[in-house]
Amino acid sequence: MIGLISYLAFFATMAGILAIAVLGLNLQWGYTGLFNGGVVAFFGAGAYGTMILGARPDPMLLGGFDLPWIVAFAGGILLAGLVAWVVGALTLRLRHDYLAIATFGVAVALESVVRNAQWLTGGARGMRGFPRPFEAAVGDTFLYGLVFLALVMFVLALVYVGLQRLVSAPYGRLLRAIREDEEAARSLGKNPARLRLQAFVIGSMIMGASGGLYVSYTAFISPQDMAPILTFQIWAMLIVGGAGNNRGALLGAFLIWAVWTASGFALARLAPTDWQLYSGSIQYILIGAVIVAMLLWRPQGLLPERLSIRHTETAASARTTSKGVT
Amino acid sequence: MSGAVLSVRGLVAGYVRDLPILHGVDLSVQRHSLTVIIGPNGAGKSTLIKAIAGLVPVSAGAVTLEGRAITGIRPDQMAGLGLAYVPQTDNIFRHLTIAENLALVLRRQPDAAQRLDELYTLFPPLADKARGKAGALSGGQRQMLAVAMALACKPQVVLMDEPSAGLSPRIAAEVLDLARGLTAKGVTILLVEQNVKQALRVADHCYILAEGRNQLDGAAASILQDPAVAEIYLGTRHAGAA
Amino acid sequence: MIQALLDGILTGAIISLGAIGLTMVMHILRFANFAYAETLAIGAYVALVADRLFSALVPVFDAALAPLTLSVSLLLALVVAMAVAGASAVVIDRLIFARIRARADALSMVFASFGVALILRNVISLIFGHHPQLYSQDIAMARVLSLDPLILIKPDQVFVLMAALVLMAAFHLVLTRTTFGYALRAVAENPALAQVSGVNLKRMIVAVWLIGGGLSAAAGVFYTLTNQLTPMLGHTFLLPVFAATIVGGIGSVYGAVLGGFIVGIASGLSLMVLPSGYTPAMPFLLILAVLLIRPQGLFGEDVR
Repeated sequence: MIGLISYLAFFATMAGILAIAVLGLNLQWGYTGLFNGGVVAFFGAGAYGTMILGARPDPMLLGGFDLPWIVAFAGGILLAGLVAWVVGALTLRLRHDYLAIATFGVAVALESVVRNAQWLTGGARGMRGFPRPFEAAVGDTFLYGLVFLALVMFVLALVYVGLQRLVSAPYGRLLRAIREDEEAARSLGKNPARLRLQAFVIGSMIMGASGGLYVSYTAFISPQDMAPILTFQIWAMLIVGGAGNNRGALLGAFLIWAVWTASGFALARLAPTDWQLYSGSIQYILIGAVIVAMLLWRPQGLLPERLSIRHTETAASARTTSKGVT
Repeated sequence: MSGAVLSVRGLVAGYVRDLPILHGVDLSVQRHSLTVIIGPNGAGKSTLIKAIAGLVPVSAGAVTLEGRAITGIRPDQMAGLGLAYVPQTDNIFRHLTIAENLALVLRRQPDAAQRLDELYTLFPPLADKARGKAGALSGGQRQMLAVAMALACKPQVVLMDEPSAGLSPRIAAEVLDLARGLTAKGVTILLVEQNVKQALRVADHCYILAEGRNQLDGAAASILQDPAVAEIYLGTRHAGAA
Repeated sequence: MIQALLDGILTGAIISLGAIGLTMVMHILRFANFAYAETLAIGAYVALVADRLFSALVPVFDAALAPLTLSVSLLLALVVAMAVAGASAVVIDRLIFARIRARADALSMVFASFGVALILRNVISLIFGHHPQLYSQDIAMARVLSLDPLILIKPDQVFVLMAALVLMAAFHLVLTRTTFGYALRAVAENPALAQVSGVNLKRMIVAVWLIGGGLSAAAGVFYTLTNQLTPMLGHTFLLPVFAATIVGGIGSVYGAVLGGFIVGIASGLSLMVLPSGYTPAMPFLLILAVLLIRPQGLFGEDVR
């Protein structure tokens, strides 16, 4: 019984951590129409940042400053924000796919840096020895699992409420306006480029928070955690749940995480032993198929944005200008 | 309507399905004539000829060419049916040479080489610069190339969108005279113009459009005398009134 | 350093072939196709299968054309691979991207392309396995061009460079000497005007996928000839090929070619200063540099 509760707590904790990242992506994509092709970069920046600042000192590494958890956590978030600011400032005024490529590129670049900068990140070995928040106070492992779950849910609620406030406030309407019709927004005297950058950075910082919580939970980080699959998982969650609305983001997170873990179990149990090596591939195909199928069948997600009249870009590009093709 | 080579009936069209720009436009172009469409900004003049050319989706109404319905036909098939279209801006391929521009439109023509010679004879300045990039031409020369490209496949009807735009009055007059000259050679011209005086000088018939609807039409020579014209341009006349 | 330069030029040629199709697709269809680089892998693996098939059917074809490890059956396999990869690009567009174009945002196509890439890469992995593969078990002996500085080159590498240049030259001739080529350039410059000038847009798009897919497939085969083949081939070349299009300017074929060589040489030279583990990050640095200095790249025009 305790085992079951323990597992459910673990499941909910992971789903909650990922849901925070999905909310960050929702701010970027759902509300502002920005394409983040490297979610894992910001997640990872938050994770590594938190780890380097908060881990216990290790003679082989530069990092491990053993700072208080909240400081390390904040540091990770700020690092994610910094990376986002650099990438965003360069690409947001350009074609939307420049941002996609640049964020994808930063994810690849950071993964190779993290894998090779042994003096900083421990290289392929990774880093361990992270004192988890409240761990000293709560002795029992089972109880700690519940405590950490509560922490994650607290942060999730904070982010959710914060974003809901933002969305119903004029700021949110403004972001949507920029997404739909930039010219109109500019004529109202608002600076679309600056607002987009803000939204991008804030969203990335939320992803960084997710990464910080992740590393605080597992107390271990390695370059494996910067693999592209995370980006796909987060997107699948948002696409399934429904971009543009936060409830959909949460639904998608829990749903896809359930599918992921369930498929992992099923493959471990049912697949013949010499297939085990490829169970990862099968899961990846599953995620890819979910993404493509949703986009073909129901691109607005399971819980679509309630405020309608989405002027899709197909309508805009249907204007037969001298450039562009439908 | 005998003698009408191109006719438009009740055309409803627009880029977005639920937001039409044209609300049931009628038009009739006589053979070998030069017909001009004028009207205030936003009247839908450009949209009208783009819709005829197949570049803007049509949700209701019909366009007929020589008695044959051409509504909804793909724009790349129009040349084969005898209809050519010269856009207002970006009407030549700047990165291709003049020769390449012309070779492109003559792609499917069996007598392409001969036709090319004929075009060079019609437009000697193009022959001189044939190997140069079209983007290097002056405004008037570009317009000339655009017209040459339209004429390449020996169309019966040529649609032009503000051929005088961006040109000095002298060059604009030359271009419009060129268009007039084409009617003598058996081509029917339908053009949209903002430059009303110059256009009416060369036109036979004139249509005035406002707010996506017909307002008035008549012989080009006398239309300026009609007091209703001023009202249309000033917007003091209600849309839809016959 | 010359060795690094030579290796970089070779890699650059392969990247260039991959980038030509991508820059056309990005410009004409206005979407960053993250599944594009998988055509390199499709081409390389199809060639693997076709090569074994031809060798089995006509044993004499299996003999290597000394001093290369290339055999006649591999040459035939290359042609088949180019055709299959081109066709699969058309099919994927028809089945997936075109449908999404009609129904949803332009950006949804980019999402979908990520999903398609994931599926393709892992299906290949399931069919062929993770382990590295080669076309020929012959050991390719490197020739020593000079002893000091030490410069080695394999005959296969010379072949690949020549073949890549031949393909690019052939495409250049098509673009500048045939009306089909004019039509392609016209569509790239102004699709609406191209249609009005009698060009069937849908057919041109199919042509772009075929040509792009074919050239990428060749790139994949050439890479395998001089390295090894794993299902990660597409992923490895994804960022470099994108970088090439950005450096050269989206929409410019010549830019893509030049960009490919620049990315290849930069990656090759970076090996002299950074450990090899950092090489994947090099194209990203190039992208950042281009965006800082000249966002439209060398010959590009549309940046908004």
